Amino acid sequence: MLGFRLLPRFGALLWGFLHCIAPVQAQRSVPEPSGKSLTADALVERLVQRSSLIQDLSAEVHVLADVPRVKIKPLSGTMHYLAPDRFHLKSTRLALLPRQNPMELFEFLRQPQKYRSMLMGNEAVGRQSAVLLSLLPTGMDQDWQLIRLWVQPQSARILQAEITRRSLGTVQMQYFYKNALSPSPGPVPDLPDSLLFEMDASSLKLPKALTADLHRGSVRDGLSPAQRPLRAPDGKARVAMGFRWISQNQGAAARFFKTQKAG
Amino acid sequence: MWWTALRNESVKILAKPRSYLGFVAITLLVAVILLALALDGRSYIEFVTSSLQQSLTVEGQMLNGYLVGFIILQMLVVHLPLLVALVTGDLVSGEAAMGTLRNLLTRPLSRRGLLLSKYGAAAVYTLVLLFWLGLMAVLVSPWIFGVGDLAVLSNEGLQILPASEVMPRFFQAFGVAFAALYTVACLSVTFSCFADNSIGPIVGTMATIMVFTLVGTLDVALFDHIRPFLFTTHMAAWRSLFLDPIPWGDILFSMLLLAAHWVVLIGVGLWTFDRKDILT
Repeated sequence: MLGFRLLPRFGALLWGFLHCIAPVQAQRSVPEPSGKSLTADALVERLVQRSSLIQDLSAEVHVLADVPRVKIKPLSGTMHYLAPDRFHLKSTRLALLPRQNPMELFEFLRQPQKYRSMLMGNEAVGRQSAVLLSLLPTGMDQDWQLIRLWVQPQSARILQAEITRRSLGTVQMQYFYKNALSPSPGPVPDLPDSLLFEMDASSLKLPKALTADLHRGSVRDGLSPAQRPLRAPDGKARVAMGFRWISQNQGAAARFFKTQKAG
Repeated sequence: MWWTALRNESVKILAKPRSYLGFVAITLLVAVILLALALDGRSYIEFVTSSLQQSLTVEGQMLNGYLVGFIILQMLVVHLPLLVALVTGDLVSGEAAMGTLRNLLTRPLSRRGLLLSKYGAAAVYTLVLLFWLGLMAVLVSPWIFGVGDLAVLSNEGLQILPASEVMPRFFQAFGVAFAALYTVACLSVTFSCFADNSIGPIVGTMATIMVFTLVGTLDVALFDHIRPFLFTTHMAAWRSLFLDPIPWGDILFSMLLLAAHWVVLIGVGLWTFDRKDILT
């Protein structure tokens, strides 16, 4: 009698156990289309190799920001990145950019001792198949809590990434490549042609003391200002960056930062 | 004849020490604002963008001459009506108090011509005062802080305008601000026609502005139909020129309404001045 009463609880426990064990089993290997199985360590190794090629970059960049309650026109500028962590966007205009530099993920991947990796299975990103790789910090003192990468298994290209931090919340990044199938050959880094950042900005507020306009009412159009948000109605902030790579590992960024320092 | 009268009235304004109070006040206030922003502008910007900077970063110089110019305009356009009324409220009543109206009207110039020259002189003074403010806001500030994109906060959010679009908008904004300030000048000259001392028109003008502003600000349904027709509602119409897209319909409505105020106020002034006793 007692056994019958405990059966539903046992079933729930079994269900929970199976769900817990499933990712653990998945982390060991994921079948590749070629038939071989891909391990998390092998994939991370390829990512580290690819990331270590990215040392010195310069590009013309086109930035498009869509942020709730903010209206900004697209702008162009020149971007310089010097490994490990120097990034600068040179533009005559004001630009809204994500807080982290766009190459931060590559910097991070170069330090495999700072994370543990797990393969979570296959997932499609757009029309491309990808494997989902989760990275967890090895130390407790790190700001980031989880990184999820959607990686194309054949080319080890990152198609999508999601970084969760204590300080900034979750930022999603999508990487777009002009040559969608095959990466560029040789020692030249295989870089995305555009990047899309997406983050939550629903809590974005502007100081009311400065926004209140005593003279302009909203009587004529019948709408209160709060009813007229500036785009991004889903509360997400999106920043798209399109790149036209000028130089890759040819020292242009190093020269730029040297002059910046001298200046 | 009218042009000569206009020139004479303008010279009379120039001859009064109080006419320079506005210029001195603007210069001092602008100096104080520039100093404050030069010393602590960064924290002001951080206060404005603190929420935005939680997830995004602003690359570039947000605190630039155009923003400082915009802040100056925003702060001082509120005070300019007082400076305008201080001088224009005295144009007729001052003459009446000194007993010089009778002498003036012995010349072969009609009462209407004389009063219109005073309205004209009020326009010249308002224009020069606004020009001085513009010079401080749009030339001195960029000279000190440099130029760049203009970040404007409005009820609708933060708008970032490219630097190349800012200067034409400033010029247009000065045009709209002039229309608003000239309404104040017309009001004080019209009040001046009723009085024989300067205090009444000046205080009366400021009191009218205060009452209208209060009515315009109170969120009471009773005032909803009145509010769009008060000139104080359109005093800050110039700010709309820094929105994107520019609400030309709203601005045209504001300009037409302000022009209608000029016509009515000048009409009332002429009617009163025609009947004004200048002999006693």
